[in-house]
Amino acid sequence: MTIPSDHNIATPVSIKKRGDAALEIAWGDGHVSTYPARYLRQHCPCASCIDEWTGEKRLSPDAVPVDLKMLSAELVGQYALQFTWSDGHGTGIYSFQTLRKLCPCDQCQRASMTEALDAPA
Amino acid sequence: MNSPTDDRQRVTEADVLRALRGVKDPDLHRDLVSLNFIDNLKIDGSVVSFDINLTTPACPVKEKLRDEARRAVMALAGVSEVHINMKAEVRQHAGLDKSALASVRNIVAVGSGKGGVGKSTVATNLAVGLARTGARVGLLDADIYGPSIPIMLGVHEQAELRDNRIIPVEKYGVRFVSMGLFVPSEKPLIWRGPMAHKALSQCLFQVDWGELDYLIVDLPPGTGDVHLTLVQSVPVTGGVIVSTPQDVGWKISMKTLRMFQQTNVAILGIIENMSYHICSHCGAREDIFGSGGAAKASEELGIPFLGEIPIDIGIRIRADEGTPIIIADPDSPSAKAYQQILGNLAAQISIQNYQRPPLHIEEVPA
Repeated sequence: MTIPSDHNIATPVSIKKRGDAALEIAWGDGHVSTYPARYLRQHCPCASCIDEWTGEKRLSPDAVPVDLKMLSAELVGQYALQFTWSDGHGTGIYSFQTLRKLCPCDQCQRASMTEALDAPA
Repeated sequence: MNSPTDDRQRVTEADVLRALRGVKDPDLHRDLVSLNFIDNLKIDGSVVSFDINLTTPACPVKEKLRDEARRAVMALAGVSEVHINMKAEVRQHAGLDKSALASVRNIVAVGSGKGGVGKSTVATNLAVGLARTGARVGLLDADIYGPSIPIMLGVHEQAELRDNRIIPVEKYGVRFVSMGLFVPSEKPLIWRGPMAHKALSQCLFQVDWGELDYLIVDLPPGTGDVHLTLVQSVPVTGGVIVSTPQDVGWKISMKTLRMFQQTNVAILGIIENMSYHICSHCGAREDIFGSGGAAKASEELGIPFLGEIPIDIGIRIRADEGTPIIIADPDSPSAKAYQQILGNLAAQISIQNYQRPPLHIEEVPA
């Protein structure tokens, strides 16, 4: 199973907000991703958490509170999700393409590491 | 009085429905009964009457379906007359019901790669053409870099404001708002991103659109703030790309296409404008901008080809005069091309709404 290519957006079949603790997405190819709230917050793609030009993380993962809660989840158009968090943050727009790449399960993490290793130096 | 053969000849509802199951919608690939298109079925002796409720008044195969349905029912024993009433109810695109534009059933974005391909002319004629089939249509001129639709429709008045709401102008059956109407016509519209964002949001959400089957949005050429605001603010049923036949024009159109794809907006189809020129004196056809580029691209990309429109000096003359050619000269080749295209577009919209499951977020216990 490969991560969908650039113009083949990963399309969710169902999106579930599990209380304030996690997000679960069932994808069109059958894969299911579960994102703990803190993990999602640590990977916020907004311009204050990631440097727009270099892609370097400006948000230190340890700075995110251990008991971080996902307060709300909203659709942005039909291609992304936006969350508000218990630490007051709420500007990140997570496209489904990004979310699919962020899937924290072993299978996907292994695949993305292999991709990174195979990429031309 | 009743001969013994009468009972055998009486047709039942079940008979009629069974016959109608043989009639398939060519776009949705299912029969009229399982699509729930049949309504108000009444049998009065040997006279059968029913409604066929289609998904758009602009359905290009409306007559064909009616004739097929009539033939199927007339073929039944015990039927002497068939009366069919054609109706249409445009289905709403998923997600719009929960948005701030709940009274709008479909939002269609019209984009292009470069300027000058006739996108606004196409958007205007499609909107007016759809309205003439009986659909309720809105047209939003969001082309802030060249808002030309007011001229094409012959609308000169500024938009009216009532209680902080914008009242659309009604022209040719279309409810129309232009972002260009907020600025006096000679003044340039020089807006930084956040202003364009705010202006588009107002033109979407602060307008009394009322109940609309289709809201056509004429985007600026290329990609930018206006596109992003649109796709982030509302669920868009789909995008249409207008291009000329030239390959060069095509490569640029791909950027707009990719933008739609990246934001998960369905591509309803490609329209090739200025497809060819027909000499008004001798009738010779010249492919001034090349030929077949859009049809080829649509095949390669697996995207519906909605049709081609010839270069016609009448289009330009009428646009300058403020009358879209689809009304001004309905028998011209261009007007006929528009008729076909809007039927194809309406069909693609129906297919989209039929196939695409709604996206929503379910709250479940942790």
